[in-house]
Parts: sequence; C-alpha cells; structure tokens
Amino acid sequence: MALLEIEGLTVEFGSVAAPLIAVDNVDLTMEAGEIVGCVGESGSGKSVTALALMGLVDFPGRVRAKRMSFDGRDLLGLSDAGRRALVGKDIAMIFQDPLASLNPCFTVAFQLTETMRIHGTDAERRSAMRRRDRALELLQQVEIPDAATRLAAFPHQLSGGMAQRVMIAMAIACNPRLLIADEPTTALDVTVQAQVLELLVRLQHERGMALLLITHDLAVVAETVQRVMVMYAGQQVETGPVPAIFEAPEHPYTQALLAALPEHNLERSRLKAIPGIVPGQFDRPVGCLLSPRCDYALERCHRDQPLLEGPEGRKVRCHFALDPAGYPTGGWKAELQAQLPAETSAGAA
Amino acid sequence: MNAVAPLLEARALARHYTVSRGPFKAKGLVRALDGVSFSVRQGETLAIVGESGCGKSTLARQVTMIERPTSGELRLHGEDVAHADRATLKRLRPQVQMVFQNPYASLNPRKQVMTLLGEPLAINTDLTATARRDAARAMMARVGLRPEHERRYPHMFSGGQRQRIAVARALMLQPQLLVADEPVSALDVSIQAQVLNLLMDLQQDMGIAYLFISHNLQVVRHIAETVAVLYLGKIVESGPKALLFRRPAHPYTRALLASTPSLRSGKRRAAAPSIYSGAGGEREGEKVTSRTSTVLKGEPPSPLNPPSGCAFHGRCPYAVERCRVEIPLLESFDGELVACHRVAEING
Repeated sequence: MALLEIEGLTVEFGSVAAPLIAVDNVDLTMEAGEIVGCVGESGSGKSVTALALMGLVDFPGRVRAKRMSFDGRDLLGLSDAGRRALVGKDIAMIFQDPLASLNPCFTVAFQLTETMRIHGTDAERRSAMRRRDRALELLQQVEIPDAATRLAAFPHQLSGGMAQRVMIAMAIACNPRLLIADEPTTALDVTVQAQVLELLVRLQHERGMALLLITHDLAVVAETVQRVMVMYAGQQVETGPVPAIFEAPEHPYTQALLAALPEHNLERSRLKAIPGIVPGQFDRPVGCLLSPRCDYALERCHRDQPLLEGPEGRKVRCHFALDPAGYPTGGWKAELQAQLPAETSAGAA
Repeated sequence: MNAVAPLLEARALARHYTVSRGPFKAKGLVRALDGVSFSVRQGETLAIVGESGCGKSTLARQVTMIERPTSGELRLHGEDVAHADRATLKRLRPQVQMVFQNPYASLNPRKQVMTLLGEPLAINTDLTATARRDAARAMMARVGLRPEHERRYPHMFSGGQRQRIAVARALMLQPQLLVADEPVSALDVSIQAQVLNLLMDLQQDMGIAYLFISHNLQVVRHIAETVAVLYLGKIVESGPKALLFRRPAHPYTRALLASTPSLRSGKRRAAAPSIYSGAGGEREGEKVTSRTSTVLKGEPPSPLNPPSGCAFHGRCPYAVERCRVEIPLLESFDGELVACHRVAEING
C-alpha cells in the first residue's frame, strides 16, 4: 500500500460564487522511501498542495478531496488532536526561508527539543537530558560544525545554510516517514544549495523517508528526484519519471519551460520565452489553462479543458500530447488544416 | 581588436566599511571590496559572479557612484570618478544607470508608469513635459509595454513587466553602462527568458555595456562576454566566458560550476537508492564518491574576520601550507587571470 494517497485535491480561496482555485484536482501517490518532485512557476499551487496535506490551510481556504490518506489513515476526517499527533511526527516539513521559520526569541536547543517534548519517544518526553543529547546528535547528523556550541545559539547568529540545517534537524527529530521540503534551497547560495540537497538525499537514503521536493528549479529536480509532477496554474499538466520527462516532454508547457532555460539555448542567442503570464483569478481561460500561451493551441484547446490522461506514472493533460520528437500528435495537423480555411475565409469576408 | 580606451576601468578598487561590534569593543573593519581591477568596453557585457557577501553589490555601489571608494582608481571614459567633485559626479552619473534585483521593491508604488519613466528626465535634463512624455512613450514601446500601460501603477503589473519598467527607467537617460544587479533572480523561468531577451536586444540596438551581477552561472554563461569571479572582496578568476566555462582554473570557480544544478547530470539521483532500478550498484557507488569530492565543505567566511593567506584556503581541496600564509596575486594563466598559488599544478 502506498504511503501517501491523494485523489482529487482541490483548494479554493475567496467567495464561493467566484473562488480562486489554487489547487485544482491534484492526484499524488507516494511510496515509502521515494523522492518525488513538484515543479512549477510561482502561483502554480505547489506550496498550497503541501500546506493542504499538512492541514495548514486556514479559513477562508477550503480543502476538498475525494481521498487523502497517509499510511492508511484518512487525513480528511482527522480531528485536530489527531492531526497534531501526526504532523511534526510522521509528516514533517521544511520551508523556503529558514530564518523566517525559526523563532528568533529561542535558542536552537529549545526549538529542537520542543518537537521531542511533544512527539518524542517515552524516554525523550521524560528526560530533558535525553532530549538535549539527542538534539546534539541531530545537529551532528546535519553536519553543523561545532554542534555543541551551536545549541546555545539564537537564529540570528546562524547563516542561511546553517539555519536550514537546523530546520532539517528539527524536521527529522521524530523520524518522519514523509518529509516535505518546500523550496528548501531557494534562499541559499549555489555551493550551500549543493550541500543541503546532498544532505537531504543522504538522510532520505539512510532513513528510508519519502521526500516531496517542491521547487521552481528544473535543474534541481532533474538532479535529485525520481518522479516529478509539473504544475501550472493549480493543475498537474504532466507527471512522469526523471529523466524521461525532461528528455521527451509530452506537454507543451514542460517543453516550453525547458526551452526557456539558458542551459538549453546556444550562447548569446535569443531564449525561447513563453509569451504572457500565468492566468490569475479573473482571467482563467475556459479551455486548456495554457491555451493563451501555447504555441500549438487550436480551437479545441480554447474550448475544452483536457484531462490528465495516460498510462500509470506518465500522465499528461493535453489534447495533442507531444511525441518524442517534440511534435503534437492526436490529429493536430488535420485539425489545424480544418481550422485554417475557415479563418482565411472569415478574414476575406 | 582596436585599442579603444575602455568605457569603465577599475584599478585596485577597494571599499572598506567600519562596523560597530558593540559597546566597549574595537570597531571592526569589513573589506567588502579589496583591490579589484577590471574593465568594461563599449557595448560589452562583463558578468560578476559570486556568492552572497562576496562584494558584488558593493561593487555596484562604487560603479554607480553612489559611494566613494576607499582607495583605488575608477575611471569612466578615462575620467577619474573616485576623486571627482560633486559637479563632475552629477555630470557623470547619468551615464551609469542601474536595474535592481527585486522589481516589486524598486518601483514607487504611488507613481504611474509615465511618471516613473519621466522622472529621470525631469531631474537630469531640461526637457519640456511634452518632450519627456514623448521620450517615455518611445521607451515603453522599445521595451515591450503597451501604450495603455502609461497610466497604470506598478502593482497592476506582473514581475516580468515590472522589470521591463525598471529597465525602461534606467535607459531613459541613454546611459553608456547599465549595472544590472541580479536582474532576473526574482523572476520565474519563462519570464526570466523574456527579460534576458530584452536585455540582449537592447544591447544590440543601443550599444550599451552591461555590468551584469549574478549568482546564476547558467544565466551568466548565456549573456556575458567576460566573467569575473569574486570571492570575499577579491577577484579570484577572470577571463573570456568561453575559456572560463570550458576550463575553470581556480578551485573556487570549479566548485561553483560543479555545484550549479544542471539538467543533464542527474548526479544526485543516481546516488539515491532508486526503487525503479535494482541493478547498477557499482556504478552508483562511483557516482557518490565523485560527487562528494566536488561539493564544497563549509560556507563563505565572514568578511569581518577573513582567513589569513588565500581567503579560500579553508574550503579548498588543494590548500597547502603556503595558501594559509601568503595571499595569492591575480596573475595571468593561459589567457585568463587567476589568483591561486597552485593554479599551474592543478591545471597541469
């Protein structure tokens, strides 16, 4: 049985009559010990998906799902107490800006032991000494130099990389089975980013945790995860294994994102930019959400919303999914030709 | 190559700040920029690369004449900027303009686009209001903003459009040099490409030189002609882009390149146990070792308390006793300038 099963997760904000759909019908299944990436631009619903999973979406946000279960336990019908027992223990999360997520008024030791005081083993809950020893051990595990003196440090005395390590130590304090990392390296320098990613993957490997890595950086995903879901405007547009999904993207959005990377372009040539911006609350298109920005969009794309379809583990939300050579399939050419004369005659009239 | 004098030339440029470390303690001295030399030619792009705290932004503040350097020379068109009087600075400043990292913070939220764009002209020139408006409209068209945008406020635009406004505003005075401090780091990939394209087009049409400050090596590789790598206030390697990326000579440059995530590598994934692939254990083991050797240990040291000798020796896999004692000088090596005692051995 899968560790995490989500089916049809939808998160809305604002009024019921005209809601802002932040997450639209997302499915996600994770096995124990798996690294899954979630990639998308800002406003694509990556973080809200994670927050909904943790039960951190507050009123007036509305979370709906057909099914949302962790290790066989239903997350939707969970009481507040039940959720508190689960979150922080079996599911842990680290956030983008470590210095903003640590409490500036308390020392590293206090914040680290706090988790154990609530969620720890019996021995840890009883003995403060035990907790302190464990906190020291955790700091050593996340490779903080001079860990013993760092225990007494306040967050402002830590560098960004160091603070993110403390956050990771807090997250793994109770041996979680699922770790959600929401843009864990975005605020860090490249050399430190490499260290932190290395650390996360090592811990994931040693502890057999499942890791959900949320990021906007395609290259980080390409280097780190086994399976990825690409999100756009709250919807999953493509899911599949890495590196296959980057070698032969089936959705025009994935293709366009990859093409926009400087890495994929000849030096000093013009980059292939995606025109326009991500649709907002009021300009959500009727048909495919990408249709106003898509190179291949035809009439059908502007009219009907495509479904996320395909074999298990490789799904795509497009009427004309791309073939390995990068050309649209599904009768795209015929439909384009059928559409063209109509347009020219309309233009002449 | 014709021997035209460079547009901007810096020689041993330094900027130190004194900081208070609390009462009863001696004041500390931060050498944010410590003897940096470089030059930018007309219409060329020089990229400054480095991690946070390495002095990138301090450099920008000297070049834009916001601050006076502590020592060293800075020449714009051969004219000394470091010791210039106020009148000269006022005359020179319009030639160097700046685009900032965060377009959400660098535009006044209470001013319409037209006002924002007209402001540099109103302050620095004696054009009439009509002429200013015409110039602003022409510039809006140039950077891809529509005429109906002129009465809108910054909050009504997306990040990419705001960065276009910021670029347009910087170009209103027709500068010779544009200092771009992380201009695309706050933007999404698809928007980043739009802004980079715009910058390249503008350079081609108007012949502006760029001082492009960035930590993103992939972007630098795309847009720059010359690259200078900064570490703790000093240039550790500088040279033509093609050479620097093909054969990084300084250990720090090598580490930076190795740390930069790339679509093509898949190094970390191979190190993790894949539930999809059972075979290939030996190959995976190899990858793990090769990877760990390229990841840098530790973090950049504090500029308040810099290490002795080569500033990089604490993190350098090649460091020897000499590196701990003696500060390496920036010397030419195989078509580049590199500051490393062991550069010949390492690249031998």
